[in-house]
Amino acid sequence: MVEPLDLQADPAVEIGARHALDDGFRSYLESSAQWGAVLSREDPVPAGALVYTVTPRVSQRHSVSRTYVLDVLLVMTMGLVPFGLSWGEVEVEVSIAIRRADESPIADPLRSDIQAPHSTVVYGAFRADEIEAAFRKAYGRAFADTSRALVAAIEVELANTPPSIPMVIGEALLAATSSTSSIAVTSSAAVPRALAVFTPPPAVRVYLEPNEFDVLTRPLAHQDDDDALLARYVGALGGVEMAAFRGGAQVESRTFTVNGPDEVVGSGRAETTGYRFSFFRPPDRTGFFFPPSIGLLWQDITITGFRDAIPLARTGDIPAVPSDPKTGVGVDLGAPLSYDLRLRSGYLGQGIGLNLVAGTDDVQLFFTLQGHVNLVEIRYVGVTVGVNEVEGTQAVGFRSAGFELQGGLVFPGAHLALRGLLQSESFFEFDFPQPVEFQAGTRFNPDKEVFERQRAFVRGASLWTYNAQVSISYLF
Amino acid sequence: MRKLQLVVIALITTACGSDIGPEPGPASLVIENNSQYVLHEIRMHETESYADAPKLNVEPLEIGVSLVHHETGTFFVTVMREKFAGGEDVALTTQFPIQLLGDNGYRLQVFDQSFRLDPAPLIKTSSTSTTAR
Repeated sequence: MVEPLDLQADPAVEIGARHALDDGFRSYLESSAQWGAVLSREDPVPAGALVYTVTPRVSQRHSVSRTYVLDVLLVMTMGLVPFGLSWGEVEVEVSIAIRRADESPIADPLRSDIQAPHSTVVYGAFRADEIEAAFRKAYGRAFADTSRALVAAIEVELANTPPSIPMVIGEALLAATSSTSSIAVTSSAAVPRALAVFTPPPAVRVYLEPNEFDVLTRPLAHQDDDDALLARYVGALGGVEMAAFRGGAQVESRTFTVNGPDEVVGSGRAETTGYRFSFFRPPDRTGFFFPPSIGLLWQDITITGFRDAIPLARTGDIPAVPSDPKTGVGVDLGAPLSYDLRLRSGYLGQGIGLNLVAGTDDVQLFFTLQGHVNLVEIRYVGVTVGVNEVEGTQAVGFRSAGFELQGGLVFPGAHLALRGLLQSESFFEFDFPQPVEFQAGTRFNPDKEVFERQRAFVRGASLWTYNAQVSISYLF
Repeated sequence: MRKLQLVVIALITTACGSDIGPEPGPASLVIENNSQYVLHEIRMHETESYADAPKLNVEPLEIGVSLVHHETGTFFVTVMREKFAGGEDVALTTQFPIQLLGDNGYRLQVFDQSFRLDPAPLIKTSSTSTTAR
């Protein structure tokens, strides 16, 4: 006899859902106990039946994670951008106590703890079907496991029961009760008697992996996973990556001039290309992560003004011929002003990232978006002004940030990974030890009736670094 | 004979009288620093080379300050200033010489990369002086 399902976790579960769970458990039990009958508490117990009372208890939980940013985008575009990623897990715990007619338990309660993933890529904020599907999957597995264990426990009990005890058995009873909603268990003479002791299976949490190409919320178990320390250590490194990269840095100084409140008066650019080897471990699950940002910036770069013609304003004005007073050799007075900068920064900050991993055992697709803000920086700036070197060091906070975007494919069977990576960091206002002069764009000065370039003195420069790379990795 | 002597004396007197008339005074040149830079040196020289020309100013000519110089003739003008803050000096010379005629006044404005010469009232001063506008 099975008592009504005790659904513990969520009082919001409606009555219909409770009845559906009752029916579900009963059907699993009926399919496992081919030799007995399943009755409810209200059903009459057949005479001579050996009755065991089953008390199932169920609790369920689920988690949902979402990007929120995509959800906002979805709402703002009225659904035209349909990507509303959500993911998470459901968990179902089933505990079944079995008692004899004298209320004594025949074994420790049977337990099953099942977790199953769920995910939605499109309109995730407005959908619950994937969560329901995951619950169905978890309940199915939990009911199946506990039903099998329950029947096994009763079979052991029956095997130990003296044969003098009459047992009501039969297909007729089973047929008569199977159409009702009742649940109960009766015994059968056909039960094998070889079993002597029933030991409940250990209460191990079981994670149901997705069956098809789906968002992965935890790593897939691999057949060749090795528990040896060295193997785990090497495995933690991920793999060896060979990358071709193109990186660079851009520096820029802006200031208030007669031409505008934020004129760019100096800029510089440096680029590098090359190859690098490194370790790389591809992400193996979907979810947020919160890495620290610790790093060192070491950038030497030249910042330069721009050339701009200064026409004569009036007929009869006399052009100036520029020359070096020391040598008398002509010089290019319009040549942009240029300074060598040595920018260093040691920084510490906090980041947030989101991995999206989807796939199967054979192939997995991953995307990562990560950003960070540097909370504290120790900055050093050296500037070559003419023949002089000026330098300074200072501590600043919240003056730099960065982001990283990557995507790739992993082929676990082939120990192969491919990825593309974009990284960028911005360092706002590297303060110069002293103001540095640039020239604004040419403008007519009506007071003097002459064209001229305003002398613009800037106190710092902003630096932007970037790196793009493609790589192939051999995974350990 | 006496009449001939008087004519010769009269001619000689007339000829000598035209040579000893009043000589014109020197031109006055007001050099105004209308550039965005302090002018460290100002030189005037008759040839294109300014290497040996003496500088007119004793102290650097600040922005907006002018200097008066008296001289007649044809000259190049060279000013020296820093190319940028903290940088080395650069010399700026008029592309062609300017002509200063006696008893005339002139005004030479110095800009960042050009000069402008205009007529101006004659300033009768015997020495070079600087004036802040």
